[in-house]
Amino acid sequence: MNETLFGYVSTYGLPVVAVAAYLSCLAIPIPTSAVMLAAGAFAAAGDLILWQVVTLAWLAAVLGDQTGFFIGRKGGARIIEILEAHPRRAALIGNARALMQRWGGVGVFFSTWLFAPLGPWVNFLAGSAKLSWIRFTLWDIAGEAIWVGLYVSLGFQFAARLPEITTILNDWAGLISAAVVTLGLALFLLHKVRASRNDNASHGR
Amino acid sequence: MIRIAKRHPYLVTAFAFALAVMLFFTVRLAASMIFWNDRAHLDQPLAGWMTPRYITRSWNVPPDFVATTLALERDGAGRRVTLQDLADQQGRSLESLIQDLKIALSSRRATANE
Repeated sequence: MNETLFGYVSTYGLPVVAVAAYLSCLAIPIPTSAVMLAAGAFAAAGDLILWQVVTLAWLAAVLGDQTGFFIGRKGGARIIEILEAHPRRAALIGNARALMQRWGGVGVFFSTWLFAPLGPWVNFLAGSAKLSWIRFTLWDIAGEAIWVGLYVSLGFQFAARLPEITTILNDWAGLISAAVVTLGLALFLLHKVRASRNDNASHGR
Repeated sequence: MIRIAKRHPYLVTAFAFALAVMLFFTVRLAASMIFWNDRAHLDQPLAGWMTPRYITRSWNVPPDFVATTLALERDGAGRRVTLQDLADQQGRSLESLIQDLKIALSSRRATANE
């Protein structure tokens, strides 16, 4: 799987980097981190030019995130309006929206690089919950710079051992994302248990 | 614990699943770190996706060595070719090309170590 991707990067070069960076921001499951690492490695070998790789990948990633954000703003907002018809759901959505207004920028920032597999969904949610465009874009540009810089320079640095560094980073990204989801579910569960305990107490059980 | 699981079956299932995925990646990460630290894996096994320049870097040989071994024409175009492309161009199998290159690299390694 990874070897096929490396082959695409070495044969077709920059277009593959740009397309992979763009599509990965739209939840299309291609292992873009492997492409970024490979591009860094081939830059180290002299087959690609480093500044071109970094600039193009960065632009394509930001453009991809923008696309996701606007899909959320156009399509997602409508879905939310329909869901809000129900008063109980409306309260829940109100909470989610407040959460997004408060933490959305930081969330977008970390979801572009630290929890990259969650990135596309965060973009979509940010668009749906009407996070301001300028806030989204500034955090996103900063985050994608870290993501592209990190992966391409790791590929550059460890070019001689490209397949292994790719495996390690994929496992790492999987672990971090799973940890975030686990923690989120644990907190939600705790909240639910507390709420039902308080319910029971007030009903005198 | 069981009472909580009975009251929130979906949430508890999702939590257990996420936890399992997390453990899975922990084990995988540990395994790949151990593999990384094993010095025996330092020389990359040659593969079809590699370019001559990549092999030069990976095996730490002089720039001309791989090109000379593969009888590459240096037209100065700097075009990227993979071993697979080269094998196709020369009308031979990738395996035989890799075999020849491996012998050349190993013997070079042997003389360099003396």
